[in-house]
Amino acid sequence: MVNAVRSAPERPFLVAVPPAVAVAALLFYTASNAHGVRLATLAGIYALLVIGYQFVFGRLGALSLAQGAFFGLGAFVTARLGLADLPFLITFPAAIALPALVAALVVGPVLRLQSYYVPLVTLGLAQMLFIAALSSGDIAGVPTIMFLPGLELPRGPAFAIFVWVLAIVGALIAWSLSATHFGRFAEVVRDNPVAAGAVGLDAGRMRLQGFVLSAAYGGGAGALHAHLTGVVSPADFSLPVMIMCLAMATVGGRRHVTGGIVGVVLLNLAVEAAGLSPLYQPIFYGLMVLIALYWLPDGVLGLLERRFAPLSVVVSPAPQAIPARKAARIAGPLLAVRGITRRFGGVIAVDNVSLALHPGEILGMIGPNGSGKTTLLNALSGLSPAQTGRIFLSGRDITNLAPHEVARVGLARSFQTAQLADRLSALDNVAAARAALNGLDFGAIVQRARAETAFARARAEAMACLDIVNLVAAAATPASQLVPADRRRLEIARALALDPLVVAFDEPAAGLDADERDALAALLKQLAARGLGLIVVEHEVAFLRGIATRLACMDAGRLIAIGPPEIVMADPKVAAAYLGAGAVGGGRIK
Amino acid sequence: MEPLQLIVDAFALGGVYVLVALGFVLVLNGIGAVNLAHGDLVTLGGFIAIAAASWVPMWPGIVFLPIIALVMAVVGALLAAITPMRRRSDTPEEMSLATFAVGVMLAAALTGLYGTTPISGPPLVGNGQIGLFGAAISRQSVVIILTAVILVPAVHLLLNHTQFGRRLRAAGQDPELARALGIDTRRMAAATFALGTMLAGIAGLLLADRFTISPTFGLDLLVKSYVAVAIAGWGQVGAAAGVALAIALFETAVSTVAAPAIADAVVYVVLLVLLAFQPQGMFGPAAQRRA
Repeated sequence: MVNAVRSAPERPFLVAVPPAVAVAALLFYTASNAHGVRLATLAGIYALLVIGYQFVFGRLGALSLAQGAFFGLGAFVTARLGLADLPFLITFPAAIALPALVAALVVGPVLRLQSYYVPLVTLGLAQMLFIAALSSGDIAGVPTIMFLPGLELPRGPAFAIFVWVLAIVGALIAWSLSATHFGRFAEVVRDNPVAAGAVGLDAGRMRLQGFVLSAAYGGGAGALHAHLTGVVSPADFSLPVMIMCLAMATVGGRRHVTGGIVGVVLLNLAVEAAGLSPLYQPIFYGLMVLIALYWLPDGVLGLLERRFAPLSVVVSPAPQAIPARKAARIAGPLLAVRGITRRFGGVIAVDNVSLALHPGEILGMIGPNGSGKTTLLNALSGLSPAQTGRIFLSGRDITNLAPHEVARVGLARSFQTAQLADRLSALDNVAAARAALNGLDFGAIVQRARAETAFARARAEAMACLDIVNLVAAAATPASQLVPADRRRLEIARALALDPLVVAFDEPAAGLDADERDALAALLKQLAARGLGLIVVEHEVAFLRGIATRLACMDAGRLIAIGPPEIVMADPKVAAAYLGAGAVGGGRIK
Repeated sequence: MEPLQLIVDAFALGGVYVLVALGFVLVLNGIGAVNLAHGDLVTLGGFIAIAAASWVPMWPGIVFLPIIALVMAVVGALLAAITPMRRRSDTPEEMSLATFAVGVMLAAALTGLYGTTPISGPPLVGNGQIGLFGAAISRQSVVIILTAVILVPAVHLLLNHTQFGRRLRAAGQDPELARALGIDTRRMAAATFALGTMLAGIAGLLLADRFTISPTFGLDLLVKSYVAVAIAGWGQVGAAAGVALAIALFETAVSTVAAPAIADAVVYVVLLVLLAFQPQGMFGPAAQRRA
């Protein structure tokens, strides 16, 4: 069978040709321009700035607003150390290292949080650095605008070439990273943070890595800018640099490394040709951002990609079985839940729940809406951790693990509405989970072949998982184009890719027709027969009756009955809960 | 300055911050994304007051309040129309990015028109003073506090006790469900933007009257209301207003002994520490972002 599978996030055509054309246009323009060399140098500096910014903004989809401040910090460090007569070989690394350090120490811990804090924390950092730059003159007795003393770097064309060599090296590093695990993982993190957790990816850590890298690039660009202009002022920290960077990134193409180069050249030439004064440039750049968001959401490169470089076609890999988990399985239950409680404000969504799950068992969870079933699954999978009580997976305490850690140690889950990376193919949604188990490999930047082999194997193993859920034919289809029943199955394949001990399903049969339900029931039984423990939250009691070895009923956060299906169904408490004679349901979070 | 006057001024600044934060958190809940133009909309309101006062210099500033409210509501509706909310696929990041671009454009345009030197707007009710417990208190500050004291409960009533308010909140909390119930979520988002921008504009008028205003203040005001929302707990309307007031009081207290920038730095550090250890904020999140 031949499937069209995207082999890499970017094709060589798109990586090389558009930026080459853009740079040729720049050279053509600058050759005929009085201060052309300066213009070309500036473009190279901004290219470095924007390529760095793409790590966090384009690849990971986090709206950082500190890139301008890192640029300013790099310039500031260069000026300060330059005034102390330190050589370029010391000032330049320092100008790269300090912003990276600030990014890691100040903002890093917070980036693990929800992405809506990213603009706040980065904007606050930018504001603090701006104020510090403004007031540093008064404090240290140094003028806020510093003219650099004699520059050891040559000026003119030699400096322009030096800057562009750095920009191209920077682009190559960025491209290598995006073409290996980092790029594929980043797609999952950007598309759907919940899915990232479910495949075992630490989105916060990746955001931190991307952020530190972007700060380093920004600092380097700022240093070069200080060398070019010989002037550093607090204005270098302020918003105009940030909005310029955003405009260049969005116009060129957020999702492409070389989009930065194309955007930089296009906008630089436009500003130059129009002779816009610096005062009004932010208005132009802001307008460009809006226009790009409206009509070119993936920028010029996104447009070119759709036009000229359709998805590359490769033969789908032959399925390769997943090697068995090496972890020693201890005697006793696979999953032991001991008295866990989860509150939301005054509402007790899960109230002192205890249960055990054994290998090969299918535990059906029933209960009225809002009785806490989904909250229980969220507590098990680390999405909203239990506040009291403990959870043990094969003897290991997983109570306080983050979602990606829970996924890695062997508790996988599916969601009420499937949480998938919609832009990725079905195959890569699963392969990401396989690859994530092996961790991120930064050595891959220099050893591309090793990384490629590893990812190819992850894909082959992912094919085996797709085979189990009978989804091989859809391997190349983007997840967004799958019908709901197939999205469910894809989630199951992804769970299997984690080689789990326990899989928790949240209403897997909802919205399926009779045939699809039968297929799902058969699949769940097959998984249980392999020795997995399954928890299946489901409204359809009829569906559960056919497969569950035991039933558990929740009401108002409490587990009111657990045991063989016929006994639980005959329990008057269960009937009361469903007929509303019992307590009114507690908090419901989905 | 007299201690009592200082305290009244602190609460006047607090009233302004509360209005700014209120507008910010309204839009946040209404569209599920951060409006990064909010601070610049505050300064826009202030500069509209200054422009209006230069046309009719005899009028007291309070006359401009309904005019600015109206103009800014229209601006807000326009803003809603140009931020890319029309496609369901737009992420909160993209919406925030659009508002950031608008904010930067506003700030740059105002800088082009007025420069960056802080200036004052028209006095609200004349520059007189009133006696209170034997101390002379600026009438401006008292009027600002009164305005905030009237507007905050009014917004609360609108959101919680009117059909419009319920629709507005429903559209923000679960757009898909709201659409299924026949609520025009795009219109509701525009209404939220109009309301939030109106509050921003009024805050700008008040700020320009008693204090000063400059196009560069927008970012600072944005960060403050953003911080208030994060400390209060994402989407908590009442708590955000309370924290905004606390920030104003703290800022005034610090500025009597040290540079105002120190207060900003302390607030930012408090935010970082809080986010690192208590990421839900002090009062927990009210709005859950859709996964």
